[in-house]
Order: sequence, then structure tokens, then C-alpha cells
Amino acid sequence: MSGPEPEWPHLRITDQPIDAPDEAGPEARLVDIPATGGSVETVLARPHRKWSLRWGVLASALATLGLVASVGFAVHRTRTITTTTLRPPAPAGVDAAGCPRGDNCSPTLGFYTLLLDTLTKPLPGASGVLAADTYDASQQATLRSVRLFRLPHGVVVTAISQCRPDATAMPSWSQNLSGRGPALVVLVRPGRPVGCATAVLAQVPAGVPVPVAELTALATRPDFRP
Amino acid sequence: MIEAMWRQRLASGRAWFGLAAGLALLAVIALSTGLRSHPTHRVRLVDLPAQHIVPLDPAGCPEHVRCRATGAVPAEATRAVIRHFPAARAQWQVTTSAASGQVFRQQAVYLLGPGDTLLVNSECEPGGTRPGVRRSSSSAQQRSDLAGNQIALISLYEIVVPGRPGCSTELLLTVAGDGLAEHPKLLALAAEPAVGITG
Repeated sequence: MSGPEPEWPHLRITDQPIDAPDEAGPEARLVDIPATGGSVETVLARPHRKWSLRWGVLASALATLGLVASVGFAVHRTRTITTTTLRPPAPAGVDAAGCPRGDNCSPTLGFYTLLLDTLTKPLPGASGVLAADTYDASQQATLRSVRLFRLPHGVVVTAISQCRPDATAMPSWSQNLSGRGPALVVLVRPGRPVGCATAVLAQVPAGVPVPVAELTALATRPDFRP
Repeated sequence: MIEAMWRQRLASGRAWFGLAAGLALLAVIALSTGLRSHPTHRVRLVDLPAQHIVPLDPAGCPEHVRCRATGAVPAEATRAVIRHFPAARAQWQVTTSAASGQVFRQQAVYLLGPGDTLLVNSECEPGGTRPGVRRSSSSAQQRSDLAGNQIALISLYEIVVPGRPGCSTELLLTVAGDGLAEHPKLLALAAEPAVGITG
């Protein structure tokens, strides 16, 4: 086929034999069009297709892309986000003031009570230096009492009584509970309820006899406990 | 025959447009599903292992440990106290430790003046794996004057500073009056690592 291109865009010039319109589609037909030099050419013409193959493939490709994007979006939106949180166990133990970790404690004055403290009454010549308690507002209880006082002959005594809810029965033990100074005397006695105990520590100067009876009585006094 | 029919259908644009319409419908369904859905948030809690703390008795000795007490604390601790309270005089010092040398408690009481004392008590509980929490508190013995003013007779300031895991140090200041002049010194002393158990 030679000559200029037809001016009708809805006509498509084909090389198919003009006697085989069936293979070109049911809608194809033979038409006469003017050619160069006033002649007429008979061509096989197909009408412009409403359902173009090219546009159909393009639409399918676009739809495929859209489907992939939509599925990806749906998968993204329906995903499960798992956050792992490390949970520490409940605070355990007490701090240096005898306050359970996490509780609200405060020191309380025992100074005036110390002056009248029955603790020192059985100890002739005792003079108080320090008295402090740790009060736990969370439990509404005094958990530790510390008393420091001096005895005659330069003996310095610290009595500490404490109750720990997390403790089992405290064992008794002692150190240097006899003889004469210089010595650091330690005496620990369990109390009631379980978890409570009293420790009496005394610094005894050289040559001074250890006041065993007084210290033992102090460690076992039922009224000296938090 | 059927193959030829499909080949013919695929060759026509109508089939491709049908396919595109089906895919577009599926895309719309997936899009609407995504728009209606929200990510599911799930929190997974993992419990950290519990601490197996061995409590100290009132003398500062843990259970099942043979302890000994000595009447001194490290000189660095005393020097730190004197740096901030030059008039401090040690009234009481004791260190409780195991035979292996592991220190469980250091306790010292310093006399700062008439009626004014400073207690420095540092403890380490075996098994403690996490440091404690710093806390501070105060209390006072007060009276009211004729004008209704509250006058502090004796004040107590306490600071507990955490140290190594399981360890903490208590600083307890007892002073006559409101103790406002002494309190900054106590805060400065609390920042001294030497007052705690360092070994």
C-alpha cells in the first residue's frame, strides 16, 4: 500500500486481503477512498473501536497497580503493633534509714522523749545524745528507732530497734560480750513480731568492764521496739 | 475451540477493560477495608527478675553471714564530714562487715555543737540489683509564741542518697532552731561519694 495517509482517523488502512473481511472482525468492511490522481482505492476499513485493546491493557495495568497499593495500605492499617515493656518487680529491701523502697518515710524527733525515755532510766548516769525514729507514713508505723547515749566511764551505747516486714526471724549473735575494754560490744536479739530485732552496740574504753547485764537488759526490753 | 475463543477475547479491548474493572473493584474494597481499620496496639509486659535481697539485722549484718563490727569508719568519710561541718567531732563509729571484708554498714554520729548531731548511716543489702531512690524529708519540734508564730525548737533534716545497687546512705541532721544555716551544708555533704560505702 502506498500513497498519502488517509485523512479519516476512523479508517485504518490494512494490508489484509480485501477478500477476507471475516479475519479483520465482523465490523470491518470494504470502503472506497479517493487516492492520488483522482483514482479510487478500495481499502479494508475498521470502525474506531470503543473498547481499544491498548487502552484496556493500560487500564488493567493501572488497576493492578492500584490493587497492589490498596492491599498494601490495608495490610499496613490492619497490622498489630506490639510494644514490649519491661516491668520491674515491686521494690524490695529498705534504704539506709530503714524505709522500705517506694514508701513515704520521714524522720521523727525523739529528743524530748529521750529525756524521759524509760530506756535510760535503768542505766545510772546515762545521758542522751541522739534519738531518731523512721516513721513510714505508708504503713503508719515506726520502723526503726535509733538511740545514742553515754554511760559513765566513757561507754557510748547505740541501741537500734527495727521491724522489717520482709524479714524472717533474726538470729541472735554477739561480739565481745565479756571482759574489759577496749572493745566494741555487739548484741543482737530478735523481737516480736517476726522481723523485729534490737541491736545494742557499745564502745567500751580501755580498762572499763563491759556492762554485760545492762546491755543484755537493754537488748531484750519489750518496750524498746518501733 | 475454547482456547481460540479466549484468544479472541483477550485480543479485544473489552476483556481487558473487564479485567481492569474487576481489579479496580478489588482495589476499592481493599482501600475501604484499610480506611476502616486501625492498627492494633498490643503491650507485652515482661517481668524483670525479682531481687533476692538479704535483709540486714539492726547491727547491719545479713542473715547467714558471720559478721564482725569494728569501731571505726574510713577516714575519707570523716574527712568529708569535716569539710562541710568543721566543728564535727565523732561520737560514734562502727563498721559491720563479713570475714571476707565485704562491708554491709558504716555508721557514724558526729557532735556538731550543743544538741546538734549528724548521723551518717550507709548500708548495702546483699542481692540488691538496682539503686534506690533519693529522698529527703524534714520535721521539727515547734511551739507557738503569743503572736501565733510557729517557732522551731529542734529540726530534723534527712537525706537518703542511693549508691551502688542495693546501697544507700542516710544523712540525718538534728539541730536546734530551724537549722536553715546548716541545711545547705547537709546538701553539699550528700553529694560527697566518700560518705557512702565505697569498698
